[in-house]
Amino acid sequence: MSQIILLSSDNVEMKVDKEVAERSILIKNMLEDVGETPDQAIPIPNVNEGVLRKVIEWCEHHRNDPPPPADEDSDSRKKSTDIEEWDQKFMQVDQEMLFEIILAANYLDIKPLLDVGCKTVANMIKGKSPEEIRKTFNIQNDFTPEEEDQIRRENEWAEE
Amino acid sequence: MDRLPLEILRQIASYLPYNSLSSLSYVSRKIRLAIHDWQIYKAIVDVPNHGSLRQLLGRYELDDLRVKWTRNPITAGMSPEECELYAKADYNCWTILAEEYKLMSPSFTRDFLQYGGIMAARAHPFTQLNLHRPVHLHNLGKLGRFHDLPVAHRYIFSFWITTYLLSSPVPAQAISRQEDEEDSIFV
Repeated sequence: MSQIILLSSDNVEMKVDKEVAERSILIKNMLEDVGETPDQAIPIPNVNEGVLRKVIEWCEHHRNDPPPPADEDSDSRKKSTDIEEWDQKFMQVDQEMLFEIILAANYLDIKPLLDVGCKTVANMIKGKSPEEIRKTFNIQNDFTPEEEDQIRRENEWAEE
Repeated sequence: MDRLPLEILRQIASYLPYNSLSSLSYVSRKIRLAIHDWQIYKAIVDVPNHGSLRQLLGRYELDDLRVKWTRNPITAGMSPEECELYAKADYNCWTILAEEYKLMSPSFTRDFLQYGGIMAARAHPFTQLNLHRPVHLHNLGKLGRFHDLPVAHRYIFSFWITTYLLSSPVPAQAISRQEDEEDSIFV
């Protein structure tokens, strides 16, 4: 099986099966454009070694998955935030790493990994108040009290 | 989280039921700007039974119906505020369905008055499902006789039957023939 070399943003080379790397549509298209398996390392400038290793680990595990459906409307992934057990464990990382994985999946165009990341974050938000969400993700409240009042007023239809 | 690009924030938001989306929209300006958008509200309304509520609804075997509000009124021409109100009403209609205790509680009447009429007028599927549910509870022996119900509840059930019959050209697939035959609460 042919292998390619990926070069992380911090200049670490990683040998990967071509089939695994092609879970990334960005890399797949790149390889198709080149037309043959390149000898040189493919630079992945936005992703550091630690994150790239995690992304490759996910791609290894899902190397035989069928491609995601092209039609968004028929895509059952939108119907729930259920995450399969292996992916749940895979996503048990600190928040910094979680967001880095999401950003890397977005950059490398790995839609199923991006979905899993977004669902993980959505599950962390579910059932929380705004204040709890701020605390969970360390977000500063930059609304003025007047703005908060206005938002609440706009949302008062059919309230008691 | 607030350093994520807008399109990713929007994707995360599209997985949330309305109550959590609403909380998220109060978190910061950037997040509100990203998610207070007609497409997000339309997307969450288009998820049948609001995702997380589906498991609760599954008890009534409604999950198989894959119910979707086919006349979802949210469009690009509406203000985000108006879209949000429809998403909120849609969520509350599903909540009425999901929480069994509500059917016999005073809040049931209140919730119905707030959201029921306007959503039934918009052909929201909760009317059809709510009709299925009392029949289901009746068959389990949990509901008692129709005439024993509080007057307000009787009016609401009558309203459901009427709107359902007026908006459905064929009998509901949700109600089996057997249930129709056994059903005596609406006689």
